[in-house]
Amino acid sequence: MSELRADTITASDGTSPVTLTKQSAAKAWANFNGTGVVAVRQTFNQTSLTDITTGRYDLSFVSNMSNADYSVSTGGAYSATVSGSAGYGAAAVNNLTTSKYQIQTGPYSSSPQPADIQVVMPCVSGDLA
Amino acid sequence: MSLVKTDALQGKTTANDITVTVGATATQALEAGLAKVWLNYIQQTPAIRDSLNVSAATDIATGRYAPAYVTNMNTAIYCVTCNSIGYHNHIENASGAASEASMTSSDCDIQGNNSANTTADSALTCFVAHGSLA
Repeated sequence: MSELRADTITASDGTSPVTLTKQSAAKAWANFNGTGVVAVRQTFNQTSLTDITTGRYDLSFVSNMSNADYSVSTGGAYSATVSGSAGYGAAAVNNLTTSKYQIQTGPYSSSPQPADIQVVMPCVSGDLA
Repeated sequence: MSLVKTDALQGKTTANDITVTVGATATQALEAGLAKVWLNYIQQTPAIRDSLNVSAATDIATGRYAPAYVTNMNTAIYCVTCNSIGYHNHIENASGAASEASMTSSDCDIQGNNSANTTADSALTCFVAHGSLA
């Protein structure tokens, strides 16, 4: 078996992105508390979290995306200890920009309304600028 | 174009820390962006169709299942996203971690609800976890 050890990998020109065969890594993700005073628990490539209003949060990137047409998937946990289900996603198409995106959450129901949930976990895929 | 072929890649200074150029100028830690667990699971049977780093998926109750990890996460705080396709292949189910307490470093209890907001087994549910392994 061959093994390559390196601290930094870049394309052969020294500056361009590296292509990983048939793989694409997530470019940002977060795990934050969405109730009370919102608080970041773990993040990757997220610089700030803003509580916009009930059930809505803005997250900004450390390194921006190359365009506004990237993929945002969001998970969550409804409560700290009580089992439940919640809905979540980008608040609107125009809330995705190269520097930040907005998430909306709420308990899952036939007539959903925005609401804060205990844990919000967005994950972003696409290309960085 | 140059191509490097290798079977294993490891950080020289720190085993899991390799900086990769991923944008025109932006760099990121390779390990932080890679999914550590994913699962494609038929909840109604139940049966695992395909997975990464999943040792078993336990059918806990109606609408609830828990994938256990082969290699554990390094903390109970990581990023889980999941979705479900409900009965008759309609995308009518919502699913997520059942609660904050249901996420541990070794597994995650997932709950799915149907459009009537009742826990229900999905025809198909998918689970992805990002974070760092132990």
